[in-house]
Amino acid sequence: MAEQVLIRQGAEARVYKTTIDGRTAIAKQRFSKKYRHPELDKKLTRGRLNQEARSLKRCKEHGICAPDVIRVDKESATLYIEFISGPTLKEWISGSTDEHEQGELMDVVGQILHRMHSHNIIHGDLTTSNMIINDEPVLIDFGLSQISPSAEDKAVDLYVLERAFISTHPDSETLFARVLEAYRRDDAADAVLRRLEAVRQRGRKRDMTG
Amino acid sequence: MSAAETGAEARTIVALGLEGSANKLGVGIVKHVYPTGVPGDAELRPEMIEWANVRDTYNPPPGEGFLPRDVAAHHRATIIMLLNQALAEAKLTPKDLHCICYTKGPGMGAPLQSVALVARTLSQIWKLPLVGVNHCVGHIEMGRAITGAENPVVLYVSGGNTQVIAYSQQTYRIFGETLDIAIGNCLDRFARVLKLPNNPSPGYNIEQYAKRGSKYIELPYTVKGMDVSFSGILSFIEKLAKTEADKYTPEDLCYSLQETMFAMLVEITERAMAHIGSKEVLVVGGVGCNVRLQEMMGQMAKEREGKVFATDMRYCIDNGIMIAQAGALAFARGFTTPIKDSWITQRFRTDQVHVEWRT
Amino acid sequence: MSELPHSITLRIPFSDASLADIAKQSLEVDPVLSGDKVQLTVAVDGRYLVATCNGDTLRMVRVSINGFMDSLILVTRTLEAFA
Repeated sequence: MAEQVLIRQGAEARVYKTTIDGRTAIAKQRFSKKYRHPELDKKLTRGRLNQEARSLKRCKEHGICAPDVIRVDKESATLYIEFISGPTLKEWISGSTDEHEQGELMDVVGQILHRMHSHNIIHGDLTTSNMIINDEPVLIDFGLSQISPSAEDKAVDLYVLERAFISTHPDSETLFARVLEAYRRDDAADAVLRRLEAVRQRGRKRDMTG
Repeated sequence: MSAAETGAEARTIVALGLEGSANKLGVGIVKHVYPTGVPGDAELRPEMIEWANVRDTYNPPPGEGFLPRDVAAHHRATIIMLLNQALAEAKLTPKDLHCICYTKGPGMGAPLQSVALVARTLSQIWKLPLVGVNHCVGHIEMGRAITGAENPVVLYVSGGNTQVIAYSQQTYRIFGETLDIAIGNCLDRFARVLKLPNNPSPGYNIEQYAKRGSKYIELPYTVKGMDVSFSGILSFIEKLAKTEADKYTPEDLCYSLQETMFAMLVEITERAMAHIGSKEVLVVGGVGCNVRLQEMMGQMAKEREGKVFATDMRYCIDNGIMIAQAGALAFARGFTTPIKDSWITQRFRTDQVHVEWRT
Repeated sequence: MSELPHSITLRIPFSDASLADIAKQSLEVDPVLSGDKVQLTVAVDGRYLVATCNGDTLRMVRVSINGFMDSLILVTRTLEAFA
């Protein structure tokens, strides 16, 4: 195995840059969390590794830009995927001042999310750090993903992104609105956006009885 | 430099705090001392002296939840006695007070209203300004004052709330929260299914049962981004308790429920810490009393070279002094609530408060 | 309001007008729920607190007045204890 350089230590995994079969790759190694019951820990670590690999492959099958899966190592809970260069969407937005360009990029993001949801892929952790701007935006970090046809799950998926947008980029309501506009491509998308409104209301309407 | 040298006048604020947004009725009195005056633009860090913190809890019979109407009746029947008790404990008279702080929201309507009525009446009788306080901010400010945590990620967990909060630019921003029910609500409802006593609290009794459990039963685990969802795990375990009572003991069910739900909370807290680069966690709210949750959070924090702060049951369970604490900080900056604006509100987001006392 | 057919007015005596006024100010802040089916207003007339309740049905009026009485009693007990 080629040398690994640690580029990030997240809450769940260490991310290394490395080479495999001559390709520049990312090795994402999930580690055990000691605070969790060992059975729960194993279920989550394995489950998320498999889910991530499965969703990445599914994206590729349906023409959604995602890194190639190179190898899955269950023993070490490590996922080897293609290295994608480029800034995250978060970095891109922070560094951009061209409103026109921003709007156009949001259109593309909305279309990609629509395509993903139309194949019932729920990302589960959409943030502006989980999209890399290459030629097209590339989605990464599918550890919390699932397959689901439900409008509720898709709405929650968008809600998570909306909250991430607002907490990371203040005054970004217009940008996110662009994403949703581009997402609204058909009746199914309409249904999801209506559910989104209900999900938002739940956040504002938490009551204490029951 | 002394107050005389700087020209700033030493200032003392004595605040009465009234809390009754759920089934706990609390009255507290706090004194804030600013030896060199209230600083202009800097963060307010007064010397804090606790003078009274009394509380009475309404507990329905086992197997029952509490209804707003009954809670309000309890508060109406108990508040005058608690007020007298608090003043006696503090050895103060109304002349010594500077403001009347009360919970504006969020919480249950009728109980909130019964406490607000008393606050408004006292405010007029004693000619003292009213200060409406957000319940969640009360928990946060009391937690900060008691533990000394500098700038922690706050996990606020109670019967009515589950939020991960971090301070930024005069706002307590909500980073993650429950998508449906609060964790305390979930624990309370499961306690009812098991018919555990409500005294001292259903959550406390679940905690005691969990300590005697050891078998881990697989339950649904739901984290979505920085948010969590509890309705799935609740309906799943309620069903198990009812249909497979012969297979799983209540102790093992409680154990598994805690291990799973608390892991979810620790996960979203850790994500927030990683996102903003913080090394401190402050756990507040009634569920924050749970020792197992504190342990798990501590384990996570240790692995990140961080630290967990928590308070004891005087402060993590709803109380009046936390309302006085947060109220007094706002009052020092000139914030008051005119009586016509002192309506209560069941919904009051933590991030709607302008945190003027921090920079 | 002509649409709310049932009505009741209570006149509650206080020992002086300033106390009646304190009660009024405390009680009038929280809006009545179901505002289109029932309305409760408070006013002061000398040393009397005057509460008027108009409702769509007798039941609504009764429920509102009962709730109002609980609040009123709390306010008067507070006045008794601390004024």
